Amino acid sequence: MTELDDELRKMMGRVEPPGGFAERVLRRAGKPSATETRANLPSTKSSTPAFVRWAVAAALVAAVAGGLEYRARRQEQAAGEAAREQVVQALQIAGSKLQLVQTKINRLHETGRNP
Amino acid sequence: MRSIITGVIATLIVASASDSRAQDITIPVNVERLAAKAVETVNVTVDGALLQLASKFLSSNDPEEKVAKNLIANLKGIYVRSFEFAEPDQYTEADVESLRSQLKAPTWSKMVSVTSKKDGENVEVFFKMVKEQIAGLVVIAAEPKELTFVNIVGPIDLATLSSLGGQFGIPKLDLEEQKK
Repeated sequence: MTELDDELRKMMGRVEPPGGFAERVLRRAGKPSATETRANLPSTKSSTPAFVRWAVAAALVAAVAGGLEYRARRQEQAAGEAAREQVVQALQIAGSKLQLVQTKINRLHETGRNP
Repeated sequence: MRSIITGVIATLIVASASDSRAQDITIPVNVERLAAKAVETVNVTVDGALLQLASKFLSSNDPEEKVAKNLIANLKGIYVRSFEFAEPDQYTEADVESLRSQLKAPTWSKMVSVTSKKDGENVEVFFKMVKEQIAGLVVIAAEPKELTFVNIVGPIDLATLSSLGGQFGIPKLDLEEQKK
C-alpha cells in the first residue's frame, strides 16, 4: 500500500508548467496571431474589379429611380385623364342645361312672332 | 427624378387647395342627401391644381378640346351636382331654395329664368359680377325627375362659351342679346 500511495501521490501531484507558459496562453487568448487570423477568416477580396461593382450599384440605383419616376408619371397620367373627363362631363351638363334655356327662349320668341 | 419632386409638390398643392376651395356656393346637406334617393348622381369637383392638370390633358389638336382648354384656362373651379330620380317629386322646393338663397344681389344677378308649367321644368342662370366682369356662373335646373346644380368659378369668356355651341352639347348662346 505504501508503494501504491507513493506512486499515486507522484502521478497526481502538482507539476510546474514550463517557463513562459502563462504569458503564451494570455497572449493567444487576447490577441490571436496574424497567421491564425488569416487562416480562420474568409477572404474579403473579390475577384470582381471595383469599377464593375460600382457600375452594378449605379445601375441598380438608376433602375429604382427610373421605376419610381415611371410610377409617378403613370399616377399623374391617370389623375390628369380623370380630371379631363370630369371637366368634359361638367361642361356637357352645363351645356345641356343652357341648351334647355336656349330652346325655351327660342320657342317663346317663335310663339311671340307667330301668335 | 425632377418629375418625382414635381409630383410630390403637385400632391401638396392639391392637398392644400382642397382645404381652400374656390366654390362660391355651399351645397347644403339636404341637397347632398338627395344622392340617397337618386338613381344616378353626378358629382364633379374640379378646382385648383386639378383644373390645371385637366387643362394639360385636354388636347390642343382636337378642336373641341382646344376650345374647352381655352375656356377653363382662367377658371378657378367647376362644381356640378346632378341627381336623376326614378320618380318625380323626390326633392322639394326648399331644397332648391337652399341653393337659390345663396345667390344674392348685388354679387349675383339672375340673368335668365325659364319656367315651364307644361313640362315642369325650371331653369335659372345666375352670374356673379366683379368689377364689371363675369366672375362666376350658376345654373339651377329643376326638372320633375332631375335636379342639377352647376357652379363655374372664375372669369368666363362668353365668346368662347358661345363658340362651344354644339360641342360637348354646349349651345351657342347670345347672352348679351338676351340681357337686352
